[in-house]
Amino acid sequence: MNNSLVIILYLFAGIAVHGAIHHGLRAWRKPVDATGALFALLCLLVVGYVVTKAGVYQAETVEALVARRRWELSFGVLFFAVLPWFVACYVELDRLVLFRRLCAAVSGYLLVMFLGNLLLPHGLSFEQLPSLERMILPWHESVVDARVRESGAWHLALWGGIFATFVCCLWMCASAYRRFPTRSNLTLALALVLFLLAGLGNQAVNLGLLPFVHTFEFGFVFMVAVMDIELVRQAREYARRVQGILDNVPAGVSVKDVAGRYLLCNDKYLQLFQLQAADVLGRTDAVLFPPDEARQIGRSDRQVLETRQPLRYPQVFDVAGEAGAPDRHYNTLKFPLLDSAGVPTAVCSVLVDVSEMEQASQEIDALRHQVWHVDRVLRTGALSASLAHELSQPLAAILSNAQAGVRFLQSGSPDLRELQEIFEDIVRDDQRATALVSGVRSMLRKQELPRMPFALRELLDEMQALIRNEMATRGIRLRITATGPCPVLADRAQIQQVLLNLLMNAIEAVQHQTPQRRLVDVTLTETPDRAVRVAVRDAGEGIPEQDRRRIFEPFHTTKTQGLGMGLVVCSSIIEAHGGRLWLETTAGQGTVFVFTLPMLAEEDASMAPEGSLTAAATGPRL
Amino acid sequence: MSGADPIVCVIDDHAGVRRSLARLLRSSGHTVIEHGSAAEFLAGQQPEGVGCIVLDVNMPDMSGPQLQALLADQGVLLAIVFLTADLDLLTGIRAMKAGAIDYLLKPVEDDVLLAAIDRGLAWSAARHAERRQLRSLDSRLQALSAREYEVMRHVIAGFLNKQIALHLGIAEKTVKVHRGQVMRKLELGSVAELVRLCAAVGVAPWEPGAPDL
Repeated sequence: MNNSLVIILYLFAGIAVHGAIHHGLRAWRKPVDATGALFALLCLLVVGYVVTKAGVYQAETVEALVARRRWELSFGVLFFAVLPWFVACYVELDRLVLFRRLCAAVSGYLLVMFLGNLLLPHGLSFEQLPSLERMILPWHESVVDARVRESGAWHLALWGGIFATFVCCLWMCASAYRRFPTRSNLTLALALVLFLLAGLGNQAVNLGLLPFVHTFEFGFVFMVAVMDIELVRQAREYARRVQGILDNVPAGVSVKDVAGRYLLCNDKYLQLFQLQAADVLGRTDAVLFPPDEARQIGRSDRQVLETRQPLRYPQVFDVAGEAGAPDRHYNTLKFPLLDSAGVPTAVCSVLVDVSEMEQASQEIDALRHQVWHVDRVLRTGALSASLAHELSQPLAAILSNAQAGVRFLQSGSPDLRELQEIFEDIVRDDQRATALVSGVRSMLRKQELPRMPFALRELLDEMQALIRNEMATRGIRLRITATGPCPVLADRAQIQQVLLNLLMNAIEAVQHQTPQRRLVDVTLTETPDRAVRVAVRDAGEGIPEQDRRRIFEPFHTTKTQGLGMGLVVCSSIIEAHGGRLWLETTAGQGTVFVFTLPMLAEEDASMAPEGSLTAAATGPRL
Repeated sequence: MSGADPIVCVIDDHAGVRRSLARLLRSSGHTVIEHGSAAEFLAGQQPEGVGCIVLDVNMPDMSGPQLQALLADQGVLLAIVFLTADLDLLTGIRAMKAGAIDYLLKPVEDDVLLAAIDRGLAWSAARHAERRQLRSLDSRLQALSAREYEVMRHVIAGFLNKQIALHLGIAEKTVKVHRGQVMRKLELGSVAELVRLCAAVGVAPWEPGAPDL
């Protein structure tokens, strides 16, 4: 056993080579992992150090010993120049100016030492050429004695630098641990302390206190081995944590590289597309999905990569294996993952299940429409007397006309012109009755109809017939002024409902006023910002200050009869149409309710009505 | 005046209804005038003779019952047949109490309407006749002397000649003469007729204790 120490050192070199290759390759990905790269560099330096150290122990001449020690020391000094940077990165303090400066100072000092080591005649280890002596190890092996028995100023300066490096690194560990007490910070600190002990052991050997070879290389390798294990453990833990998060977030997540290969996906994603994890990773959509679907997915992926902008769209899935189960609604978000230079390296897709939300919003929508419908029925019911009145007019005219016609015929010499006029009148009155009936039918119907283009001005004119009697019996005048036809794209019955609500409110507000003030004023305006503004003004008492804020709240009513839902319904209908309803009032000056609706552009007016409603966007799949 | 044809006025704010009614009435031989509102009717030439108004209830500005009240105040002898689209019982009762001939609901059958109008015209004619009679009675009453007037009030109060004589402090024979004069001047044949006409023109019978006229 004459070469055991050298074999041990080469073994150590092997460990360090492993560290260098392993972490070097891992760090070589984009974005570059600074910690891994620095660690790989440290490993390489350790390899150099240990290999040259082995050479030292095998030196044949003094010159060879000095030269090999010079190299050994060069690797060692560089190691300590790099070490603080690695520690700083590892404990994530590399962004703090204080520690950057500290690291730079230590590194700079050690680089000066490195230069000194290269330029001084015998390196930093020796003041003058030593004699080549051998020493006997405890296991009776004889090696070259590499101890530095007379420490020169340079050697001491070097050790000062190394000690400063340890202090700097331990300080960073302590600082990181105080901030964020993790096991990895503690492990690093312990490794550094043991490393330091190995260094102190080295000095003890140099001073002849310990009859042994230099212990520093044990420290180097120990440090490298511990950090190697710790870094791998950390990387695995990180990956497990990420996967754990991914598998538990209520969303399907996948990451694909720029070539469309799956890098990552979670359980939910696999479930959604009925895939197996083993089939997916490393494969592309072209293999996993039918061609059409894969093409669509590829298109959206490319769009994200090219624009570097997130992409959102809704998707609908039928639930796997559950026949008749309702479709699930998903919102898909795709975004690029960028490297440090801002170049996209992967596409991440996140699919969030919004079925419950969708269902809830649909239910709320349905409830809202029910409330609207109930309100419409109530409004129409309140108008039934008026309606009967209005309907009986054309019916009365038709009956009398027909009976007059019969009498004319019975008279023997009927006036044909008169008879023609009778028939024309009958047709006209019948059409009036039909219009009234269909107006009421549209108010009473329950299902939604597509929004249609129509002119508000015309609607208001038609509605006058409905409420004329209501107003006449109460001696109320209605004045309508309009600056144009005011075309809108809306649900006619709903807008009619809103107008009816506001008009009936106005009628009730003025019916007990003096005859001069029994006036309801409706103004239609086409505003410059392409909106239609409708103001219903009454000359009533106005609404007291304390009620003004509450009138749009449900079940708030100032009337003895009424649910207090009228204005709530109006407001929600107008908002559903993209408009706004508000109150303008001055005490004692009456009340003005104003609402706006987006005005229909002329080119839209010719558009097919169903086209305007079914244009709901359906995004591409994935 | 009284010789003119009976006239039917149709007042309704619904032009279609108005035209059809007018047509129906013309087809059954009536002379018809149409008006779109109460104001229009009041502003126009109102029929002075026998006539009937087919009147809508709900109209802007002035309603049917309001016009009815106005015409009653003016003592216009036009019959009113209400024709309404609303079955409003209270308005109907009030209209009937205020002297409407009928209160009909639209749409109305022609014979019902025509019958009502015929009744209305008959009523109007009767009222005109009555008014003419009352007017002549009135002028004849002016011809009575104060004493004759007194005697007449006693007669219509049902007193016997003897009681009248005692009360007025005159001879029973004188009472008889006055009585004869009254009947002659008023061109009446019986006391019953006298009583009815006096009631119509508002001559109050004498009452014990009442101040003498």
